[in-house]
Amino acid sequence: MSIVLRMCSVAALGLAAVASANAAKTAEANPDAAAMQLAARVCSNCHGPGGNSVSPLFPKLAAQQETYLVAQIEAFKAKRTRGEPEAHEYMHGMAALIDTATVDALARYYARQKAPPGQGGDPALIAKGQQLFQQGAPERQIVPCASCHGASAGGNGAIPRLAGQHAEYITHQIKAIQARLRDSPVMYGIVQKLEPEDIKAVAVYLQSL
Amino acid sequence: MFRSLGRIAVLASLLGLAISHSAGAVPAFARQTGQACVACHVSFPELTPYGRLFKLSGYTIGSRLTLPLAFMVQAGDTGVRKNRDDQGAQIVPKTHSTQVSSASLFVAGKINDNVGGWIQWTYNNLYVNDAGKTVGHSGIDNTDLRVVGRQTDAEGTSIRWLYGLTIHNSPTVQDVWNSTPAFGFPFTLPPNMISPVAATMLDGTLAQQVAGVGGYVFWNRSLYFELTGYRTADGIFSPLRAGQDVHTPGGVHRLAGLNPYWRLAWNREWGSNSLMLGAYGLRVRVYPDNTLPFTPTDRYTDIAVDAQYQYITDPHTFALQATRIHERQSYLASFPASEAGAAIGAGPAPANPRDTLNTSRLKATYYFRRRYGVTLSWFSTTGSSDSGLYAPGSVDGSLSGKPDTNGYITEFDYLPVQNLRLMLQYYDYRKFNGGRANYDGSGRSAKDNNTWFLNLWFVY
Repeated sequence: MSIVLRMCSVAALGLAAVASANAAKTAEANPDAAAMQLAARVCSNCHGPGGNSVSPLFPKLAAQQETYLVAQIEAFKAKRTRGEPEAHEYMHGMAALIDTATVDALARYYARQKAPPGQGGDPALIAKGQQLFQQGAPERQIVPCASCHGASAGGNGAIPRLAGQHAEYITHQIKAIQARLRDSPVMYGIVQKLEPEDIKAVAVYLQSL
Repeated sequence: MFRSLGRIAVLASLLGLAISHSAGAVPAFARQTGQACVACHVSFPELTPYGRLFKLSGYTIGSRLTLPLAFMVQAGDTGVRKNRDDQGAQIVPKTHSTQVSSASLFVAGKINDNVGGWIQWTYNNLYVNDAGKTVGHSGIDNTDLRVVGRQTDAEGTSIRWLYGLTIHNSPTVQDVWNSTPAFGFPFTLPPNMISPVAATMLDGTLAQQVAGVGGYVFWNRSLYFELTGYRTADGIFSPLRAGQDVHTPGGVHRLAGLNPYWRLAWNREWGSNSLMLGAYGLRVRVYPDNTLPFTPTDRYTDIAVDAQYQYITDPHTFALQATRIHERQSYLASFPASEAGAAIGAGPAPANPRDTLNTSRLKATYYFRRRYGVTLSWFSTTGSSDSGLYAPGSVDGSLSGKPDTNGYITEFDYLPVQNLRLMLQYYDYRKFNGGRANYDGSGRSAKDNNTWFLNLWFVY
């Protein structure tokens, strides 16, 4: 019996080596196929199938803006503008393993995935968040988020889509920008005056979209 | 203890200054993926959902390292409430002094996208030899080598089938949930302590003595099934038990033939939560004396259930694990021999043809920012009364002829950086080897075995 097991092990190792060599050839020839394989085998472990993550520790990537995705993966690779602890813990090293062509293909892949459905929450909080997102707070010199992120929070180019994103993730990122851990000068100027309850309301509203 | 705390704190701060943040439980894996320890571990070695997938993927995520090495060292101080037996002799050596207890070298990482694994070699600085002396000793430790395959779903967005083969050297070391024994709590023990008289076969009894070759499949991140065969790690598998005392009667357990292990688990993840409900079991035939592999064998059948719940956010993390192992012991060889007047070599001399042994464990952990942790654990072993297996004897014996032991473990953890863990454990025994007071027949109480353990655990 153990001889059979040993033979199985050797055969499996051989097959695995061939499969691995084939995978490497695929990546060179077709970055879109390589990106799809990478997304399914690696990225989906945290970001979920098709970029629809389950845990709010990890952002949803489905239907995200392609330009924004490329910029963020490159920012992780450069280890400069994304300085929040989670970026270091999860993404700096992972992003460094992806070549430029695959980065572009990964961004294309996630941009064409179906957007996740929104998740309901406290109506009063959602109403407050909607007000802030759509109209800002002129008395506190807070401009409407919608002016850049779009009325439906779909984003545009380098400006990220926020609709349907995990509220906890949005909260975390706004706080990281406030603390200048995530370097975003434009956003810092806008969010620096947001109070914790403002952030919570906007985040719950965006999650509901 | 407080002097030790000071010494260990100084050592911790020096190490903390000397190291970077980029290392993990098996830091070669952290270097391979470029990720931090917390990506895979709640606190090492307890796995997060991603850590479980990394292990089931055969440790193949990331890029292959030129030098896939990591190391680990532990230094600490142990104290026993009453460390003298009824004759006044010291029981546990090297207490109340700071000792480097062990150091490990890991060869760990991916070979290609389908093959990976890890091998741990450990030097035990406080190994107690047959003469009762503390000496240095080295040997293989936990090892797990894998070949894996994957099949994505119809849309190509995630892995539908994740399957593989594993070769390893301890039942449940291959498991990815921390409710099973090999990577269950406590994650590290005092280097030497007074151990209860009985443990089930699944509960570390066969560690680094057997070779397991198994196949597993994880479907849709929800159903896991594994079937593994264990045999004694001799012949071509002998590196998997290197360092074990295989020539001394009673030095190891020797299995006859191939012995089946099975594992079934249901897993669900939602929001910040993950839940697993599972069962596992093992059936082994064991030669009563490991140096006499031609005698009849005894049979042990273990059936266990387990559960795990984790809630992982920033800054709060909760984790709960539970398991119950039920073992049926059929002394098909040892009982007739014992009844005829002599055990088989160094084998057991049971008074019953069949016995049972049950072990239960519950553990709850809270971490704040993955830096400050507290864990409470309850453990209990109960079993048949058998005066042949559990006879009176100073410290290690049982006056009542029962193996019943229970108590609590409390642990406080502080991780100033992710790969350095300062921990304080306290083992509080309410019952030991069948009794509370005079459990051994020599006047010793269960609480006399209470043990504290201050430890520094460093991996790089």
